[in-house]
Amino acid sequence: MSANNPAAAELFGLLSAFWQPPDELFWHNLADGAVDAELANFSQLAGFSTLSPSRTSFQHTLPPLDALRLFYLRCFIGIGKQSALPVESIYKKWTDDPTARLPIAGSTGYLMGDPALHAKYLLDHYQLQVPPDYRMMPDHLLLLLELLSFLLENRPVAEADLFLRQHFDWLDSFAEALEAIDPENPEDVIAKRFYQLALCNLKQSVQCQLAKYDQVH
Amino acid sequence: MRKISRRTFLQVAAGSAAVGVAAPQLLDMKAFSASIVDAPVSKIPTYCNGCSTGCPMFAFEKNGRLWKVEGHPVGMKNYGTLCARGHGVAADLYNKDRVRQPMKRGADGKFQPISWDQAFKEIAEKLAAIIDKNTGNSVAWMAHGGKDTYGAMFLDEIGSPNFITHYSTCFTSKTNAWDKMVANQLTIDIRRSKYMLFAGRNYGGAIIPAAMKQLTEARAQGRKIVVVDPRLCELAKIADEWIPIRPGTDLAFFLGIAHTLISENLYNKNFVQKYVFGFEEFWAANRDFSADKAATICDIPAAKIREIARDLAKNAPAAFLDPGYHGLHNHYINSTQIAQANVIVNALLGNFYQPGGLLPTARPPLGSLKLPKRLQPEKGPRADGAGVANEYPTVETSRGIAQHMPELIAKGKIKAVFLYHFNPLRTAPDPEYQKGLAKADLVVSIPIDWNESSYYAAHYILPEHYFLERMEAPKAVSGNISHDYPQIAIRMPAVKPLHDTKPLLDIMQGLTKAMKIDDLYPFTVEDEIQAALAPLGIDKSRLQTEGCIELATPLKPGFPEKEGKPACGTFTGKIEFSIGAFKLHGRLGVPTWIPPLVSPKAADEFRLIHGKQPWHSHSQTNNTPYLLEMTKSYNGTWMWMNRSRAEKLNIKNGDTVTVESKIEYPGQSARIVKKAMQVKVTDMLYPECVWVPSAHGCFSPNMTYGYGKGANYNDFAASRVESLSGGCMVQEVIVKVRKGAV
Repeated sequence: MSANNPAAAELFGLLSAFWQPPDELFWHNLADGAVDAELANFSQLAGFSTLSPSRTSFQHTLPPLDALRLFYLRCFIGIGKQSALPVESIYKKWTDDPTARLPIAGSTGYLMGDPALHAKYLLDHYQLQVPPDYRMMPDHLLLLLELLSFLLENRPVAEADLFLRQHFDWLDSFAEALEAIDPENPEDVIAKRFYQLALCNLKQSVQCQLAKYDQVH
Repeated sequence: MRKISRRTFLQVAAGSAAVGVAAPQLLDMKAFSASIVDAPVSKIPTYCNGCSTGCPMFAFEKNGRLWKVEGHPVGMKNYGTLCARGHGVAADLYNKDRVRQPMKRGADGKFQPISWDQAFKEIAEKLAAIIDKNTGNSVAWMAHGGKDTYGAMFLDEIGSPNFITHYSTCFTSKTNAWDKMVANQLTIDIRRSKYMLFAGRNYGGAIIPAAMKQLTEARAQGRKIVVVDPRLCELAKIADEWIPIRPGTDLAFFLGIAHTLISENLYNKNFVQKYVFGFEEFWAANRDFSADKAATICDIPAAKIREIARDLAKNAPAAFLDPGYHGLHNHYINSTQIAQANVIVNALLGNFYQPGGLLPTARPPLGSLKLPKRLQPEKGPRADGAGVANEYPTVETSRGIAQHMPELIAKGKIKAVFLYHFNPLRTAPDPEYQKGLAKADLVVSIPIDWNESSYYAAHYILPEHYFLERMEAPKAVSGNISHDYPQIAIRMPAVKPLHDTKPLLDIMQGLTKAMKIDDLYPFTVEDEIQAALAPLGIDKSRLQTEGCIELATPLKPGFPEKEGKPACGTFTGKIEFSIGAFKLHGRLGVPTWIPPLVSPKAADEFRLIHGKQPWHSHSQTNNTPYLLEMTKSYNGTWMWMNRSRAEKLNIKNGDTVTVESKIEYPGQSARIVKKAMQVKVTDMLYPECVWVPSAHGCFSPNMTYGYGKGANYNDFAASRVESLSGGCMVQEVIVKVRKGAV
C-alpha cells in the first residue's frame, strides 16, 4: 500500500516548520491565521477528527517574532540558561552497542546516538540531502518530521508506520524538558506556551496517525 | 492543496526514486542498531586533552562515532592507561553544551549565531579600528598553553607584546625561579630513587598515571616516599609517611632541611663547590634558621625535619625533593622563595642531572617551518608589566600576568583581548573583578564550551574543533617525570567535526585574511608535521599511524659542561642560589624566611587552601557529566574541615556552612563574599585550614551540568600580583566559617 496519507504528509510537513528557526514568512502565516486554517484543513483531510479544538489556536498564542526567535535560540539552539534541544538522541540511550566502551554508552543526554545513525541511514537510503548545519544532527525534530512527511507521501504504509513508532516515542521527554524551561520575561511565557502548544499538537497528530495504523493492523 | 509556502530542509536528490527505491533493509531501528555492532573499527592516534599532561592515546572510531579510548602503551606519562578525566573528556565530544557555531553578542547582551565569514569581517573591522587608534600594543592574546605559535605570530604581525599565559594563576613562581637558578625545569627520576620527598605535589590528584605506577612500585620495593601536605592527599595514601604541615610555611620547612644539611655537613660539598654559585650568600643569610626555628613555624617537629634531611642525604644523589607544582608555587607571598629553596635543597643533595635525583626531560629535536621574514611593527612594553622596569621586572615575559587584565582594560592599556582556551572568569581570582574583561572594546573567545569568560565577557565566540576532531603538529611527550628516551606524539582527527567549528589555524587564517594580512599562515598542519619530523628522519605516515614514537637516542645523565666547565645555561653556568635579577631590582637574591601574608586568628577563621581532585582538571572538566557523577558519589563539592575545629563550631559531617571572605582593593570599599558549602569533617587535614576542591563553582548558565554546583577558591580571593613572579596568591585568604546556609 503506498501514498498512504498525503494529507497527513502535508500536516507533518507543516508541523516541521514550527521547529525550524523562526522566519518572517512563517510568522506572518501564523499571525494572519493561515497556518491555523491549513492545520485544520489537513487534519480534517487526514482524518484526525478526534483532535482538540485548541490545536488550531496558534494565531492567538503567537508572541512577537523577535521573542519567538530569542526563545528558539535560547531553548532549541542552546544559547541560554536552560535548553531543550529538539533532538532525538538527547532523550534516548546513546547506543545499544554492547561493545561500546565510552562511559556515556548507556546514558542519555548526548548527541549522535543510535537514533541519529539510523536517521542518517534512512536519509541516505532515500537520497534525501540534509543541509550542512544539520548533518551531524540528522535526528533533529524538524528533519524527522520532513522525513515522516516524505514517507507518508511517497512510501508504503509499513515504512511510515515503523518510522513513526520508533522515532517519535521521545516527545514526552522533550515536553518535560520544555516544561522545565523558566521564562525570563512575559514574552518568554507566551513563546514557551506557543512551543508547548506546537508540541502538544504534534503529539496528538502522531497519536492520530498511529491510531490509524493500529486500525489497519 | 497547500496554500502557504514554507521552507523545507531536506532536499530530494536529483534522480532520487522516491517511489521506486526498495524498502530499507534496516528500516527497523533495533535491527539497524544490531547491524552496526560488527562495523569495522578504526584506531586513530591522538593525545588526551583532559589536562596539560597530554597523555598519548588511541581513539577508536566505529560508525563515524567515537567507540572507545585507551592509553597509548608507549606513552611515558601513562603507560597505556588513561585516568578518569581522559575518559570523561573523550565522551564530552557529544556533550550538548559545546558551542556549536560562531556566536556574536547583540546589543541586548544576548548571543546570536553568526556565520564565520561575518564574524571574521566584523572582528577584523573592529580590531583594525582599535589598532589604528591605539597601536597593536593595546591587543592581548591570553591562552592556556598549546599551539602558542599561531597567537604569537598574530601578535608579532600587529606589533603586540602581550602574549599572556595562565601560568600566573598556576605555578609561575616555580618556572620563574627554576629558569633563573637552573635554566631548566628538571624532572624527578622515581624509578631509580631511593628516597622521595613530596611537598605541595599530589601525583594522585593531579594525576600523572605513569608517576603513580612508578610510585606504587617504589613503595612495594621498599623505597621511601614521604609526603608533606596539610591534607592527607591521594599521594599521601600510598606513602610511607604523611606529615601534616601548617599551610604557607613550606619555605620554613625547606630552609630547616637546608640548614640541617649544611650545619651537619651532610650536603654534597664536591657538587656545591663545582656546580653551585651563591652558596655562601645563602648560608650567610640563613645561618640562624635552624630546624628548631623552622619547627616553630611549620609545626613539624625539629627532630622530624632533621630526620628527613639526614635520610635525604643518606640516599643522595638518588633522593629528591619534588620540584612541586600548583599548590605551593603561586599561591603564597613566599612562593618564589619556596621554589628557590626547593632548588637549593636538591642542589645540596647533589642530585641535579643524576639518576634517582633530578633529570632533564628528554626532548626530541623537532624541526619547524622556515617562513619568510615579514616587516612587522615595533612592539612597546608589555601592558601587564612583566619584565617592565618599575612594574614587575622579574616576571617572565614568556608567561606574563593574567589575573590583572581587567585593571589593564580599565586603565585603557588593553582594548582588545583574545581568549584561547582560557577562562579567567573562573580560573583567576575574584570572578566579579574578572568580569571587567567585558569592558574591553573587543573580546574574542576561542573555546570549546560555554565557559564563564565566553558567556559573560566575550563579544564573539569562535568555537574550535574538539580535540578528537582536529589534527595538530607533533609535540614532545615530556615533563613532570623523567624518561630516558625522547618521545613524540601526534593528534589526528578521530571523527568528523560534529558542529560548525574550525581548527585554530583556519580561524587565524580566516581572521587575518579578513584583516587583509596576506599569507601570515602560508602553511597547513600537514606542512608543520613534515617540518617537525624532518630532523628526526621519521616518516609522517608512520607517526600518523603509530601516534607516539620513542626515539633511540638516550638521555645522558651528568651536569652539563662545556670545555670542562659547568654550562647549565645560567649566566655562571652553575646552579645559582642567588638570583642576580632579583638583586638588580633591590630584592634579596637568596631565599630567607618570609611569613605568609595573612594568618587565621579567631575561632571561626581558617586559611582557605585548594587542590585537584583525581577526576577533575580544575574547572576545565566541571561540566563533564561522567566526571560529575563521580563528584556526586564522593561528595566531591564538599569543603574539608578538621574535626577538632568543626566540633568547636558545632559543625557535623554533611552540614551546610556559610563561608565568608572579605575582598578588598586599594581605594575601594571592601566587598563581603558569602557562599554556602557542605562540610566533610575529617582528621586528615591540618586544623588551621579548610580545603576545597579546585574544580567546582561553575557559574556559566550554559554549562548546564555543572552550573551552580559547589563553590570555588577563586570566589573568595582578591586579584593580586606577587611582585617577583606574578603569582596570584589565592591561598593567602582567610575565610570565616559558620554553621548554616547563607
